[in-house]
Amino acid sequence: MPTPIPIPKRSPWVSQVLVIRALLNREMATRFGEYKLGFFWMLFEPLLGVIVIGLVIGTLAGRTVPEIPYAFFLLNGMLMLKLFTAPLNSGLNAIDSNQGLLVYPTVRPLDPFLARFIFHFLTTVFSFALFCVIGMWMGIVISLGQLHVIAIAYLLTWFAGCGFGLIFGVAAAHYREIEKIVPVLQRPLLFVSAVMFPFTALPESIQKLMLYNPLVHNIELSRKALFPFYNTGDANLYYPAAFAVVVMAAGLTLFHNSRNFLSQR
Amino acid sequence: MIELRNLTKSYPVKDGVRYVLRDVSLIIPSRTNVAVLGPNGAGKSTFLRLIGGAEAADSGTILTDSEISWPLGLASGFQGSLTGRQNVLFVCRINGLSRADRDRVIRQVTEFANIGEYFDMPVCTYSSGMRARVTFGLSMAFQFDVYLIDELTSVGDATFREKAKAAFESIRERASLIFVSHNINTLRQSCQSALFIRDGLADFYADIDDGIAAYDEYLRSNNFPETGKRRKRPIVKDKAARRKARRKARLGRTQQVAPPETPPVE
Repeated sequence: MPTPIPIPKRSPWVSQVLVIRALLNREMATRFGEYKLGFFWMLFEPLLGVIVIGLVIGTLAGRTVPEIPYAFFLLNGMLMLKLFTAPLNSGLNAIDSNQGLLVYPTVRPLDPFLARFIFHFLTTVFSFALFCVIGMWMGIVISLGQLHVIAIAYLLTWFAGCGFGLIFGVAAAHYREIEKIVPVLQRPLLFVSAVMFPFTALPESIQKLMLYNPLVHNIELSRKALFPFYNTGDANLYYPAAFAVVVMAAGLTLFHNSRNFLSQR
Repeated sequence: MIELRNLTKSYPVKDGVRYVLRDVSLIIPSRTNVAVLGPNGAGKSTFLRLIGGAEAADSGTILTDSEISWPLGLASGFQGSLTGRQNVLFVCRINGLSRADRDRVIRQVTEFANIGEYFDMPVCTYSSGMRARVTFGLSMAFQFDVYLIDELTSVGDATFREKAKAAFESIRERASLIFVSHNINTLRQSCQSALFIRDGLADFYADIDDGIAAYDEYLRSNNFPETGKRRKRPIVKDKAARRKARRKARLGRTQQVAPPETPPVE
């Protein structure tokens, strides 16, 4: 037998970073390795949605907002929605698909969740940046002067998605049915989040109702930041911020209470 | 040395709680290979997971000055859709090994496991023997003071068992084993002491024979159908094999020969 390698001693923070990095690597390997051109699909899946919806709605309704390129308008909404639903859905089976790896003492049940959340954030932000560059190159007028508002809106959306990912992930570990219900429940999100049309195009009574959806605030504000002519109505950042914090706190509390349950399955 | 202090571990079951360990305090000395005995479901695997740090106890502490491996079993350690190589790399990455060390680990595992092109196939396509080979090879590439082995060697073919035996021999100087197996002969061969777990209790026996005697006594008094080594006729489904087993049993009775440790090579 050749001489064995001693396992280096690491501080908790370093080993946490190592574990997250290794899990990110593992996510990339399974997600991009499965398909040929896996990385390509990751970026262009939202674009595909935009093309389909854009062709239908764009031609049906004509140009919805005269001074704004509809394709980019839609793309921004789709990416935001994805930044919410992707961490949410990935939380559902985060533990299950990494069960075997939890046997290593430094890999704790929260780590698969964190790795997936970070993974979706990175890929979405990367595709947003890429589409911005492509859009500008094609001559679409995008204002990046309010980049911090865009960043906050995206972060809040993601944060809320992560909170729900934890909540549903823990719930699905207790009750399998959750895995079936959650995808059905989020189907209307595309419509009630004003992804495909400007929020102000709706009657006022409906607007009032829709303002309870924090995604509407985030999406509207990011549009306002991207297209300065855009009119946002009553959207603000405080409501989605409070919402994200509450959801995340609920998710973490739930997770903390069942962390032993999650590690022993 | 591993010391358990007032350790309690329970699981929720359908109607209440089931205790694997209830307020157990004991010391496992270093430099002795420990056979973990106990009926099915007594909590032998859970015990390994507790010591290996994969699971937390309800209360109590585990103190140790040894470097303990993760529990080496068949059910865990791998992500099924990753290849064997990717899984090995994962373990290298979480431990922050340098590139050179990583290459060394990969080389050692490929050599030990010897599963050819399967090393670059998803682990879910592996047979249990192949999984055992990679798990075992991987753990042997790292330096631990205590290796936790959960039924790992019982699935391999003769070649693998030989290799595993040789590996145990080679680490005897520097490390010890905590070994879960239902094969009493294997345990007798590689262990000196025993830990007997049942009904929330755990006792350490410095001499493995005392441990096995206590376990046998327990099985007898509880009318367990499974009495390990004393069963005369193994349960075999296939008829020809049953005839063969009967013949072997008859032979064993007349000549008092212990059953062979290694099964015939496929």
